[in-house]
Amino acid sequence: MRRVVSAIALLAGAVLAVMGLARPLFEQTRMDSGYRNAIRLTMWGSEYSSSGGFSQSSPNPILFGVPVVVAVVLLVVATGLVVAGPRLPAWTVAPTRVLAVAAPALLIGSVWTVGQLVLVAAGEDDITRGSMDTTVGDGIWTLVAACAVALAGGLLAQRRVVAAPEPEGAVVYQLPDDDDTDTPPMGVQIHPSVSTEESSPG
Amino acid sequence: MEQPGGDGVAAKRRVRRVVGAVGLLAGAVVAVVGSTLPQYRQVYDFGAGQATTFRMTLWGTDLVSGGVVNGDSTPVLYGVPVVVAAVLLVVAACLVLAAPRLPDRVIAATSVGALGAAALLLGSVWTVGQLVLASVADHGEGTLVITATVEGGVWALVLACVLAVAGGLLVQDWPGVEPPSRPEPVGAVVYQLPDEDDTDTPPLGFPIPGSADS
Repeated sequence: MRRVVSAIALLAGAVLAVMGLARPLFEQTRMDSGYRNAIRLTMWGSEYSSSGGFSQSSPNPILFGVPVVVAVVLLVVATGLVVAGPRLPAWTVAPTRVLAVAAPALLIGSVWTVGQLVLVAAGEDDITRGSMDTTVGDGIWTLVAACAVALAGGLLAQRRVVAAPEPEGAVVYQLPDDDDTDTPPMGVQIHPSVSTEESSPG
Repeated sequence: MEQPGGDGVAAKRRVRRVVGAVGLLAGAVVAVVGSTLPQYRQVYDFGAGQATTFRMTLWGTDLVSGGVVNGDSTPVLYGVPVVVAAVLLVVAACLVLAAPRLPDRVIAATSVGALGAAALLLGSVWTVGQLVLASVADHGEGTLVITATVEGGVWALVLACVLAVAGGLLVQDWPGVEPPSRPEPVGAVVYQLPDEDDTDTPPLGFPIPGSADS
């Protein structure tokens, strides 16, 4: 059950991340004496608009999305490994656990870094004239949700370490024996001072 | 005492863990240092003999023009996730070094966490790298000539990632290698063999077919 929930969360994280990749991170519209211009940042560069349609503002866009795509691929692989876990050889258990955490961590590192940029850009208000309207796009929220869901899935994929396999059946431990001497064949001699009357018949 | 073979394996494991922990620590230190170094430098030449230099670190940018340095009033702190990853790497390294005194449960979490911290660093550095890649590809247009150079900060961060990931891989407990501390049971261990037929002989024995009773 836990395994199924973990796999679903990892896959949902991957799907959310792909959705976030296609959405704007933030949009900023500036109105100044009747002129309207807007910029929009996505994971694939920044777009600029002066009268409606957006166009790529630079011939060399910043492709923030590349590490996210790699993280998505790793999340899908991790999902596959978690689902197929019981049918896979034992050596895949440890790498599966590690990948289930490393893939969300890669995603978090990337989204967080872009988030630092969005934080500053969304707080910017250095205008002298006109008005500025900044909206944080749903792209960044979708990506943050992807991070949370994927990390939860990765943590669920971890399992308590099972102690060394229990031997089947009865286990007998030999207790430490301080006195190693066996009883001699003719019995132990009783000291003459010890009375034997009580135990002897008659 | 211990067999010489098992002793050698244990010693090799110990060395591997220590080397891995050193890699994690070195990755953390190099990452923090790298975040303060310039990532890239762009020299803007407007063709009038006046050049402006733009520098970027993970804690902001500055513009040097005619010997005057102008900082950024609202710097983008790309360094925050890098420093957090570095802290996690240090914690993971300490736990790895303390492993023989920790319960097995913690050891497994540590080795997973070590690679998780390394992956966090990698994700952050890679994302900044995408920014650097795009920036140094910009050569300007028209009369504006931009000369871009990748600076030492990038290589420091790449080195930090390599060290952290290598350290993270070295501290893993892949199967086939037993955990660092597992006390052997003292004295004899007796295993009960599986018993196929559970029925005991009845007290009066089995009736023999064809005897007086039947």
